[in-house]
Amino acid sequence: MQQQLSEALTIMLTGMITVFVFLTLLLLAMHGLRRFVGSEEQPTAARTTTTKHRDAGHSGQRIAAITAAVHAYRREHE
Amino acid sequence: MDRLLTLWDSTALSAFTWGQAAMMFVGALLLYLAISRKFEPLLLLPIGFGAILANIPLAGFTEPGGILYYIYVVGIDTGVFPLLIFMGVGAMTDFGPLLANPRTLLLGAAAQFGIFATLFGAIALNAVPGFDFSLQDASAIAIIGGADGPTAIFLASKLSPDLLGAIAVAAYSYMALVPIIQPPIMRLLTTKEERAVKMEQLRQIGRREKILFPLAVLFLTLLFLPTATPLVGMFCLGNLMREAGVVERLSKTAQNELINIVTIFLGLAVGSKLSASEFLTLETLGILGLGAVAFSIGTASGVLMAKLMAKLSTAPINPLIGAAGVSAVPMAARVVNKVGLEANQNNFLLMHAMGPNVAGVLGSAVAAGILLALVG
Repeated sequence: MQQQLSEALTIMLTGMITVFVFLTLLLLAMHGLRRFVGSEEQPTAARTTTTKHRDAGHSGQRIAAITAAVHAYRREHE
Repeated sequence: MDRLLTLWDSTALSAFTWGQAAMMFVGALLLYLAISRKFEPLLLLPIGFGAILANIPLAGFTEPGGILYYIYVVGIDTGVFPLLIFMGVGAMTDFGPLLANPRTLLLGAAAQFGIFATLFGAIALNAVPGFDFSLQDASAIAIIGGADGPTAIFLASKLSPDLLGAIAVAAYSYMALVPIIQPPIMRLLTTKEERAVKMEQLRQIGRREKILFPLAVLFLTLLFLPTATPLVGMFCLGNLMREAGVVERLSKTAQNELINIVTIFLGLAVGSKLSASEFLTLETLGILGLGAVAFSIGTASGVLMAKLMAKLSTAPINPLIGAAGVSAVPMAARVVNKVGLEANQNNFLLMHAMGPNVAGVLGSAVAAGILLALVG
């Protein structure tokens, strides 16, 4: 009985310590993961914004060209 | 006259024993709890019905040749059913709240103290005449404190199959009783001001982080705790199918059809273990008592850990979320939300409590792996 109790106590202590150590390791891994993913995701975000800008430039030029063409057409046909 | 006697001998009435009648009553009680009280009906209904079937005299449901015998041998003896359920649970789990606030992993760890303290308690109970739990029995009983049905069944089937019926019934009953067991403990250990604390908004989590997380968990488990890999591995597989976004059909099957089918068989198989000789014992009473203690200690240690974190942390932490560290997803998180709303009507803690809640699932799977490694 006494021996069983001390064995249970050892399991309780080692078990609790292992759970904490393991989940702390996981916690560190999560911080690492966040840093890894964070550094990977930012360039993609930047790229999408630049493409957006370029798109905006394109459509701006296109709109200007269409407006100019419409103006020219109206001038000719008035 | 002889014919009449033969016919009488083939009826159940002549063969009934008191134990079987009592176990049928237990089965009927479980059906009542499932249907009228809505106590974990998905599990308790098939378990209750299984208990009734298993105790029908002369029908031989639980002997070789009987259907419940085969279901048990195929699904639980091998550990397959709880693992398939765990895969489904993984496919249903969103790790977002945990990834947004990784510190809540420690709450999921603290709540596992309920398991290990109960292991000690079960051995200490041997001092009372009539109880004789081995370390294996004590470990299987203690895992009830993990508030995780499949984990409890998995561990009990490996360590102490004779107690499986009582352990599974206790685990699912207490999970249904979470809204009754937890709030008094939470209120006892916190002040009204602490319960009213508002927490900061959680950050959004990217897809890539969600995909890499289950792989990271699996990697750490296989390195440090291979005995936990059956549970953690299936859980991570389910979660990866969910987050990968390319196998939506598999993910949907795992979290709907497959888990439902397995639940039916798991319930029946657990019910088949509810025989008079194994259930109507003093040990069952001990298991029910220890289960309640395990739950309460788990809740308390989660809350106390959250209080400690709140003291040390600069960001505000509401200590109530520690109570969700005893898995029981998502019931425990809902209870936290409810108790939080009582203290502050505009305080919604649900998402904050989901972090420790899913951490608790991981924590109890890890604890099961440790117990398997130490006493298995």
